[in-house]
Amino acid sequence: MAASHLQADEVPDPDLLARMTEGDVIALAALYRRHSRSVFSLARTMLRSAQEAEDLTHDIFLEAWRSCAEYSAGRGSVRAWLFMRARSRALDRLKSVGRALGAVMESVPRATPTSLVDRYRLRQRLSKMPEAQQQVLILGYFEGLSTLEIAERLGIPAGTVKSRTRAALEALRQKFGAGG
Amino acid sequence: MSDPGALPRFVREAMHRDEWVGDPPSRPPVERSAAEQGESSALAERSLLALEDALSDAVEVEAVHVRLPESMLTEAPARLARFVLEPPQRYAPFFARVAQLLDVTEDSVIAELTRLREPSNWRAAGQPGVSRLPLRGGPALKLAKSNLVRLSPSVTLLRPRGLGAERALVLEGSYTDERGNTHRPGDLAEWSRDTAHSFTARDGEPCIIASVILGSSLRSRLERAIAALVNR
Repeated sequence: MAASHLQADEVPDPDLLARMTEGDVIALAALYRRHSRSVFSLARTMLRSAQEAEDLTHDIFLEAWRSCAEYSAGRGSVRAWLFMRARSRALDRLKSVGRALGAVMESVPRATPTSLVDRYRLRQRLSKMPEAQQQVLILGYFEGLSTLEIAERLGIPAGTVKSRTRAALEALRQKFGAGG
Repeated sequence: MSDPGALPRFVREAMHRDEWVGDPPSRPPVERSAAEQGESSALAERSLLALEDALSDAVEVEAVHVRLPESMLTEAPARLARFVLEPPQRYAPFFARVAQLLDVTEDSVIAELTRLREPSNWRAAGQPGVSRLPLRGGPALKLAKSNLVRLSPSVTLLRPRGLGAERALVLEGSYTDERGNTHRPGDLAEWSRDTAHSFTARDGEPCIIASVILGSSLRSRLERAIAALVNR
């Protein structure tokens, strides 16, 4: 078993996922050792709770175990695939907590996912994107707002939000070479 | 995430130019084919994964300095291991494939595989070293026999001609078929009605297979036993 662990620790991420599709639990353990710290770190930043971040990390790796066959190397890295799930689940939790608390208290301070953008200096990475497109992307992607909610927040028509979203996605493709 | 429904809402809304989300429509909706919509959702997904990659780069750099709680280092990996080593989660990577094989939902598969926790749910299958656990198939399998089949290490199960067309998905362990081909977890094999075939579990580990047999002409256990002897 120890030899298998050592071998799995040297296997590239996409191959670990491929082994997981064959039911290889050791591959899942290797993936967990490799990425649980980062997933936990992201979750804790978003949820502001170590316990919740730990639970979410557990859930993300279970989800990866169940959904490993859905991963396609052509679309992006395994790490990005895990992070997309982690961030999305963290947003779900924040929304559900917000809804629950909102019923009894109007102005409950909550963790703002936008802080991720500042904390991890993503604005620098998006610096060539026009500010208007960055705003839409940050509110929609990191805060999980709908088109109408973004429009209300920014005081612009929903149609403008949609066109800025399309332009931002196109800019991302060009900046990060994700044209596929 | 090939399903457009898995994209963030604001991206889905932006991709559907004809969808009215607040502004009065100023021009007729643009007709878009399913292929066009699939292509644009794939492009949007790639863009977002690129953004996620940029985020994950930054998080990973900072995570090196994150002090993990003690429980993350000891209890959490053990908890995950316990969870995925127990049925039904042991077989989670195969839920979708078993659901397709049995023509049922993944929730039904989870319920069925949960029965594996109780060893007494396995039934004798008329041969030493072979047991089975009947499964409920969906509407397309009303006339089929669906089972989980468990072979002890090195045991061979013969399937005589006339037994019916069989589809077999390996969930655990591995087996060698009548041609010497090895089948591992996740592999799906198919045999037509008019062929005899066999499963031989490898040494050292049991083999568990989800099996569906359709169109058997051998009705009784005695007929099947005789056919197996004749075809041996």
